[in-house]
Amino acid sequence: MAIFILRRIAQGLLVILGVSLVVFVATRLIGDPVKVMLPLSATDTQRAAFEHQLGLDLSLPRQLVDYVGSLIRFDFGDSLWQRRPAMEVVFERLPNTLLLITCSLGCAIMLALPLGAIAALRPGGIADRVTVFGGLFGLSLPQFWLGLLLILVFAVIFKVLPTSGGGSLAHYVLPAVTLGIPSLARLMMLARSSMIDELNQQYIRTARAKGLDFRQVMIGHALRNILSAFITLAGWEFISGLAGYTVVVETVFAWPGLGLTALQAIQRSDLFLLQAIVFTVAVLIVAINVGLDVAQKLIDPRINLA
Amino acid sequence: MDMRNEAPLLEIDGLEVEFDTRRGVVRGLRGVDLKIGRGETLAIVGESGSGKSVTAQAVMGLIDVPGRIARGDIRWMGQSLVDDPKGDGRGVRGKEIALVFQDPMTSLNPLMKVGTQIAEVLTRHLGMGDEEARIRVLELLEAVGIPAPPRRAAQYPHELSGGMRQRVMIAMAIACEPKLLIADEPTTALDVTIQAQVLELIAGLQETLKLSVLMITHDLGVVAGLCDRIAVMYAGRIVETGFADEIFERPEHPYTQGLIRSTPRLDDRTERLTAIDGSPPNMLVPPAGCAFRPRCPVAGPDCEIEPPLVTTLPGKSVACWRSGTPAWPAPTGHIAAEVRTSPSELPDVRPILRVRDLGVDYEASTPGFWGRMRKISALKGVSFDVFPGETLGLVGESGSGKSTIGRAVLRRLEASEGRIFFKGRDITDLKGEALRQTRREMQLIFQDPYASLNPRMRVLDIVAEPLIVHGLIRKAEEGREEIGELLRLVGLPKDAHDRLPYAFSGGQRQRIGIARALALKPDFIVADEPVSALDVSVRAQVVNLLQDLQQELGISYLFIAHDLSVVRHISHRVAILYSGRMVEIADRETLYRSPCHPYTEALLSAVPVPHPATQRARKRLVYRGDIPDVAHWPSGCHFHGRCPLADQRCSIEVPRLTERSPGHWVACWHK
Repeated sequence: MAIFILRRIAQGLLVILGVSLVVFVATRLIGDPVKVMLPLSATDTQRAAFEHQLGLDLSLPRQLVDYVGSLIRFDFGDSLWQRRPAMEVVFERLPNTLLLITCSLGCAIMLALPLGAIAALRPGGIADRVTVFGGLFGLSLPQFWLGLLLILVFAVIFKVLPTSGGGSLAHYVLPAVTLGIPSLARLMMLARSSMIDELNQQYIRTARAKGLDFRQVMIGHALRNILSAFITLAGWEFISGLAGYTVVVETVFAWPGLGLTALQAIQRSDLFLLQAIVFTVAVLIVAINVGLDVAQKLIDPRINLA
Repeated sequence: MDMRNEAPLLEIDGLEVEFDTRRGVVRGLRGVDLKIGRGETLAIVGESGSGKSVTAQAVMGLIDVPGRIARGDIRWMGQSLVDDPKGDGRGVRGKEIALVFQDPMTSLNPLMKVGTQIAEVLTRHLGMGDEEARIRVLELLEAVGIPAPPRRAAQYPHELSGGMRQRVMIAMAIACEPKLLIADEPTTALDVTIQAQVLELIAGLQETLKLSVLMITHDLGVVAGLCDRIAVMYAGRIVETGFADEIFERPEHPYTQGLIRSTPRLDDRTERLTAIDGSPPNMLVPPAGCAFRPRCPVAGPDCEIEPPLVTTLPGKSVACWRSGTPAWPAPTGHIAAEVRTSPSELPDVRPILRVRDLGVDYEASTPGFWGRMRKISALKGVSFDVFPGETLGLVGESGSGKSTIGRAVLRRLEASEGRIFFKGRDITDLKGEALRQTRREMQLIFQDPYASLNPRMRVLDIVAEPLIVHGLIRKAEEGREEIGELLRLVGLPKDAHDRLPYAFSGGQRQRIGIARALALKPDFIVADEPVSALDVSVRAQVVNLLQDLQQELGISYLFIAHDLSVVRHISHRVAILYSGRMVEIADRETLYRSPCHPYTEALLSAVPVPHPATQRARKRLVYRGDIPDVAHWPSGCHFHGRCPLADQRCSIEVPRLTERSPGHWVACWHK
């Protein structure tokens, strides 16, 4: 098991290294970072000074060495926009995003499993049809629209929840719901379909023939066996939230998280901040994947340890 | 065994089960009456769709939506199991009645340790604590003959072999010392030698635990050695029931007569099999009157009224207006695959196929990111000849490499070593057009008649495809006449041309597959388990057809199968494979009468003969242990771990095939 985890971590580090190199190539070689970051009106001397300040006048191999060095020190230079270390900005904003995703996904998971399982008991029955319809409905709602609608209803008309920003627990509700609804729909559909498959398996008949009661069959056998697939999708939902959907949701709700910061960094051509964000997200994604592999291995003994 | 003075354990009374489908109500059971006494073994015998498994499921309360028990009652020691408001089988299910399913591969939860799965029953029904249950689990594993119980209990199903898993299923079933064990095709998915082990286990447990057993099977051989009474089911009803010897000796219902006569026997002369024409009825629209009427040779107008099950002798009942009438022509003495001189013994006959030292390796990667490729040898050092007009039977259990040989001969798989000669020409390395030309003369018949026909192609297109591929015709329509002739040859109706495969039964589909194989007029056909997916009565039709075609067209067959009775029936010579090596090859009579290799002996003795008296008298050699896994072959003779004759030499040196008498080759150091 330890070897398995170490191997996965080693593979993860390789992936992170690859991502970093892509970032390096993209920022240094494809475009000219100085041109991107300085206003058009900047003079040649200003440009040269800036280039020197960033170390961009050095040879490419030398730059690469410096770059890798800074990676190891988690030092991505100063954010041009905030005038402080980019990593500091990231670490300030990251917890907000992680908390938001955790809240929304946590609720989605708690709802998706029982809803999917109930639907699967009688495929084609009323509960199943309602679930499938609700699932499709949830999938087809665009998040920017859903967010605005929720603000209109709960914050503007009924004035029960704050419109935007962070701070209190009440601030979490609307963004978490907006972010979680499509995830809930996908997770519920998966729980339903894998549960239907599972309940048709021969070993479920064995469990029933053993005289186990309904609860033991459902929870002890069926539910446990769909967990592997379910957790994988949940992990992916987390990742896709982290790498994309939060940008939309955080923008709509002015949520002080990483997604909103990323958008701002792009708008302000803050290359160093953006680089720090991309790197951080990449590390998180790799870490989640390693975690998923380990969880899978713990649930399903058939996955080979080698 | 005497149950007249005692109330029966289980009583099934006029049981009807219906399935509501989109196309209407399918009548799964149409009034089944059954009694099982204490300590008694009853077998329900029938083909697919006869309702034998549905009966077992009804007893266990496992009939699911869309199925329902429409009428009738099931009583367990006087108490109704149908009228069960709590739906938990009144605490009887799993405790007093236990079930063993057919397929041990899918019947265990793959993500749960086998020990835990057994312990579940104990905590549920006997209220045992964890520690108590753990100890009992080890006892149970011991009782079903699993070595090293503590280690096995902590393993997952995928770490156990098929035979082992079935033992675990049985351990689970006997955990609460039930009074009745229902075994639904308990050995159908197992290899012959493993089947013998499991049947022996069930018989032993029955004795020690005083179990009643309800055995559900299609295999008359399994029934013969084990059961006191038999109930034969057809189309959702019991058509005949009585004591086993009685039924086998004097079957009264025409269906029972046909069933017994269409089953090839290991110890029998190889007369032509009796084939019951047609196929079982569609239970969506069961025929009026006796359901067997359309297939019955002695049916008359009175059969349009459903015959009741009436007692004809003490303990025997038959549902037929003409019970006891001999329904099928008496054995003619006509020998099926004639015991003519095997072509191999004639001078100047050159083999159509020669295989020398054939070996096939697979590449398998060790799992993981940095996995390396590893060579796994699936077949090694196999040599044999097939002569024109001859059938060579290739027999082996799973992992023996028999299908690999078939695929390598057809060049669908590259040989890693050895040579293959077809009509004197070395085809081992043929490529491109030369290979295509050779393939015209060698064809393949597949095992699964459902999966091997494209469901969206007309029969005409299916059979015409090889002709088009080889440029003999351009469009299927051009071959309509020729294909009509082929369809007639394989016994399909004239209007089969334009219909799609779903319109045909399993046996008819297999005929379509045969017509396709014949389209290019091949001299040589590889038939890979061509009848193992078919029901007994239909199987006889296809076996007869293959033999007729050989007589008429002089085709040579390489007949690959695991069923030794069928192979004996159809082959001139037989080769036995074990774990990727050929251990014995001889003409049929020599091989079955005086087998030489210890594995062949064990294999033959493990095949149950469908005749109770004969089967009881047979000596069974049951060798412990499992067939080695292809990835971990032992050194030396692959059989040495299970062989009673094995000594040190056998574990080091591989024995080569040597000729013991003309045409009889054996690979063993001792025999």
